[in-house]
Amino acid sequence: MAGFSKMKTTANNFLWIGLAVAVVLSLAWEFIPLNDASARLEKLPVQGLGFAGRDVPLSDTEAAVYKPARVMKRLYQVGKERVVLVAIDGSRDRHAVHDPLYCFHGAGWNVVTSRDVAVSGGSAKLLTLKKNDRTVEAVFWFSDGTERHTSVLRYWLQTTLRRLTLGCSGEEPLLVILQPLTGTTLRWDRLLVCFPLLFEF
Amino acid sequence: MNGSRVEWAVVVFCVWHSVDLLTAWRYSPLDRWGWLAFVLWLAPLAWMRTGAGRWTALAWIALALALTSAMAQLNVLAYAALAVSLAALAPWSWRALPWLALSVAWMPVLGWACQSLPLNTVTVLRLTLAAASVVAGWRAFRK
Repeated sequence: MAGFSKMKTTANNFLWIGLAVAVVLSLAWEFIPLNDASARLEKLPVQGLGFAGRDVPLSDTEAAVYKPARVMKRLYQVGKERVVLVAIDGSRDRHAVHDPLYCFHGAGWNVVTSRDVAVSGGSAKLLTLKKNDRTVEAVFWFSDGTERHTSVLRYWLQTTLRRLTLGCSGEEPLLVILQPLTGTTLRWDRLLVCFPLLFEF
Repeated sequence: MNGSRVEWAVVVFCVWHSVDLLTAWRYSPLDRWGWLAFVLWLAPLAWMRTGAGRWTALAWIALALALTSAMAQLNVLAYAALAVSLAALAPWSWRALPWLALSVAWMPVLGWACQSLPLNTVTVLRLTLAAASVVAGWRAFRK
């Protein structure tokens, strides 16, 4: 009985040490800087041949949801199309980047159609969303600057590996979402032709 | 209540890393009744047998999951850690595995996995799984 008690005390002592190490490591990890994707966000020009844009401030709700992640919200005129682009860099807070489908569902939108569209470096997802009597389109993709994909599981895997390896596994994927400013549809074919730089960052 | 001081300290560590649960339960329509599912899931611990039989390995698993969640910024691991750390307070037998698995009832991952279902359906599913966890816990922990 005394032997069992001693074993239990030793096991508890090891657990205390393990807990102390875990506390120190989890605090220390917060302070290790991770390269963010600012340079890539800045690569997207505000104006160019066939398009013109301006930065738009985040609403109070957006600022509260996304802080401290870096978010670029920009209004672009591409030909006759006016689109809102939101690009989220989760380097400083990965929790700011949610599965877009989850957010749309949570906000009461039903996904009527969903299809992958080919873009430079991979694919984007084009959605038709319906809420009450409103129907709109939206498109999103994740981009690490080289490859573009629409899988949130792949995004979570990339960002998990990146944090566990302190950035050695690759670039931080950005979440990019495009929605029409007015109207309901995106002239996706037009955007692909007139604004190819969308797929360069 | 069961559990040594260090096992309770591990629970506190896991709760610290699971703080985002409160935000999910409060603001996410898909996770709205998660807090009730959590209370139901916890209920069997109230009638568990006291005394020996706890499995320290569970506390180590919880610690590893919570630390990995902190380093990787992945909440799903933090919530799994919280469930395992609470299971570490109870005398362990493999009969408790269904109860532990049904902890998904209060986790946002359930809302995410069922996001294409109507909100009411997700809520009913969540509370049904939580009720099942009460039965599973009673079978595992009853004195």
